[in-house]
Amino acid sequence: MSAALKPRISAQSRPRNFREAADRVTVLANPARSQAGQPLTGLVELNRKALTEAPPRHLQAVPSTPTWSRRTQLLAAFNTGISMLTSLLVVTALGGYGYTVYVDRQLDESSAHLNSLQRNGQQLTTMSEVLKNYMAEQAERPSAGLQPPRPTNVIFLKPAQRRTSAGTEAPIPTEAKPASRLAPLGY
Amino acid sequence: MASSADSPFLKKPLLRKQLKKQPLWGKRLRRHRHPNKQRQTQRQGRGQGPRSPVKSHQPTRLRALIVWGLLMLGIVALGVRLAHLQLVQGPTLTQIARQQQFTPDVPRPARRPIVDREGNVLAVDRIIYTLYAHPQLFQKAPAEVAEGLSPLLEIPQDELLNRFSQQKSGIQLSLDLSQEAAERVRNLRLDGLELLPQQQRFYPQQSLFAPIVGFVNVEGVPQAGLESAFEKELLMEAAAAAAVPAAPLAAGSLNPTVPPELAAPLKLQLTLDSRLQRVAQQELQATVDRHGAKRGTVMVMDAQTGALLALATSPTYDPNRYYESDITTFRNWAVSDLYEPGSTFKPINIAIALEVGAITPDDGIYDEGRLQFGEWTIQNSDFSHVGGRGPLSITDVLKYSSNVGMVHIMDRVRSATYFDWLQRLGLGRSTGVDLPSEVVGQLKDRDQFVNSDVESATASFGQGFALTPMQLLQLQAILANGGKLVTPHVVQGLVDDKGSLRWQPDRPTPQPVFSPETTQAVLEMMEAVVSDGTGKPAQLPGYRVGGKTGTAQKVTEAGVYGNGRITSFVSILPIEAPRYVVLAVIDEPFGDNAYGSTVAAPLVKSVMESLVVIQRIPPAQAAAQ
Repeated sequence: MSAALKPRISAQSRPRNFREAADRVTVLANPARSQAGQPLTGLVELNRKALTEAPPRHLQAVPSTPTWSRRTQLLAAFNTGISMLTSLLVVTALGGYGYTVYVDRQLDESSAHLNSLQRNGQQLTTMSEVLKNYMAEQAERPSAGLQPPRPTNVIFLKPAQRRTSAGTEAPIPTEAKPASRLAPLGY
Repeated sequence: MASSADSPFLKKPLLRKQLKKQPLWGKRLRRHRHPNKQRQTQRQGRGQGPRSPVKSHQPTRLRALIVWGLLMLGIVALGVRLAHLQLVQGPTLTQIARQQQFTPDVPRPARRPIVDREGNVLAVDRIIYTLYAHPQLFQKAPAEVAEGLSPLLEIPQDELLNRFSQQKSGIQLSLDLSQEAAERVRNLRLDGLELLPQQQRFYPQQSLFAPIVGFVNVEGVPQAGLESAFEKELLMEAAAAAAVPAAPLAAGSLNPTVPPELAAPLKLQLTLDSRLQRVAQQELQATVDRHGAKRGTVMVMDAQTGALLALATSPTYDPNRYYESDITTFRNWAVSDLYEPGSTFKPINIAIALEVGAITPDDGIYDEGRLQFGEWTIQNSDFSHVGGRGPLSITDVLKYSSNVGMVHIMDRVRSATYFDWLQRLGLGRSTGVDLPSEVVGQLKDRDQFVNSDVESATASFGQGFALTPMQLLQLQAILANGGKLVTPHVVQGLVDDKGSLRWQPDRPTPQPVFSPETTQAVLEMMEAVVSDGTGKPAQLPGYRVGGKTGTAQKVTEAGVYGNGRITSFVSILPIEAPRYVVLAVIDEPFGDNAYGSTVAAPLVKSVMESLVVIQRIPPAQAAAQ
């Protein structure tokens, strides 16, 4: 990948860049001299010389045609896109799979829970009915001192007549309306 | 890359060398990074002399081919293995997986519960366990296993050891372990024991409702009562869906084929009231025991609807232990056996006579005490010590239960009309009750009835034809509800958790038979029977009760009337607003003093006492205020 991208730096532009950079370094290192326009000497001069010369052979890139570069760029972009898409798909697939496993397990657990609740409910019903029957049988025994209900032992009460709600309901709306109108005026 | 190496462009020495040495593009990158190394390689290359390009990329091609071949081989091998697993071994592997994944799940309830009108459970499914022992899998000594199990199963250790030695595997130790007992067996943590759960029908009220509800046998097949009559309605759809051996996800609630309204937990509700039923059963049993009777029944019906509030029969059985019971008790004799109703039928006859206009309530009748029809003699039951009663009102005829008086009344109705009326009341037809194995009443042949005077004479006091106690109750209900022939029933319908009805059996609409004026007149006569006649033992202080006693001779197997009696009492209350009909029939009570008034009437009274309390019927005086 990186090999394919390398030739993007054109061979012609490199020395010029280097030279500019070297100049900047020189100026920073020796501001007084550069301002006075004195010739540069010493290490700085050497540096400049080295940079102004043609770059060593190993730095010369393989010449490449612009079409190839464009195609590479396109391919690279395509590659990046595909990689991202693949990653996304892998993540989605894993997530989806995980979700199905999770849902499956949750469903299993829940249905087991429901079953056990239903079983418990069934057991409770049965036990309560057995207990009821047992108590009724105990009560039937003469030794229990209980007797079946007889009309002589109970009091019959007439249910009270329902009060007509019309009388109480009627004033409420008539009172409520002025109250709501007056409320803001009071304070 | 290999193909580009063949192009004539690349036949320059430098490129050729590059290709020769490092033909892959990865190497070219390295050349930029490590120029010294690259130079060295180039030099070495020069030293060795140039190779031909064809020769130089042969190993590359070969390598690629080998890699490709290996990959393809791998793919093919995987494919073959997959096909083998799926196609050849598939079924076997599926089976093995199923076996490994299978946990003996507790089966779902298969039948709906049956509840009474108050919601008390009369029949419900419960889980029981069958315990199997496999001695060859025991990790401990059989003696230890027997020691652990003995107290839980209530089987002596020696017997358990004996059973363990009989077989190596599959010894059934217990058939009906409860859930708690099964849990205890599990907690012993013994190897070689197997607990298999199953649903079993359980009747918490034991023998109380057995003749009505019936039972389901060990195989889950309903055998009697409502269990068999309403088999289809009681079967749960969810259970049917769950019975399909499907994927682990196929729970009943997730099955889209089951409509939600049917998947809801419904119960079969009865019209019976447990409290009243219990009182009725208790009193009935006491009466049967006291008089050494063969059998008996007490029924309470809401005459407006035909709904039964209590239906006690004796003898009964425990449906949880049906296999220990007498098979004859499985049938409810109140619907499956016929009897001659005797005097309890007299009010119906009077209603017929009133309805056809043969008599009016204020008419008078002369009672000679004894009548002769050819070879047949008809006399009052008290003729031997009272003789003829002389002139009687219609009310008196009922009050003293005068047979001769009844013969004279029905004599005023033409035989054919009388017969038609009996048929119209449903004699000889089913009552339509929802209990199974109902027997149809017997009525004489029309010609025989119409042409013979003695036939209509005997029918006038309730003999010479037969019906079930249930049918008599239905006929008495006509008098109580203003003249409608209602269908007796014990099933209310299927109700949901909130108690609202989801399904109701179809019943014919009650047909009016008598006019309300007629029934009201008869009710007043019946009230006189209780207040001042043979029905005095059924008086309930404060309440207006109408009633009629009945003591009929039983026909022996030889076809003649023998010493056996069947005593009965029917009562209707409260007279001011008639609603409930109580009928008691006691078959073959022992002793000379066994009459409807001495055996059945006190029984009806004690049932009525509970009825007025449970149904909150205020005393007549209180109601009048």
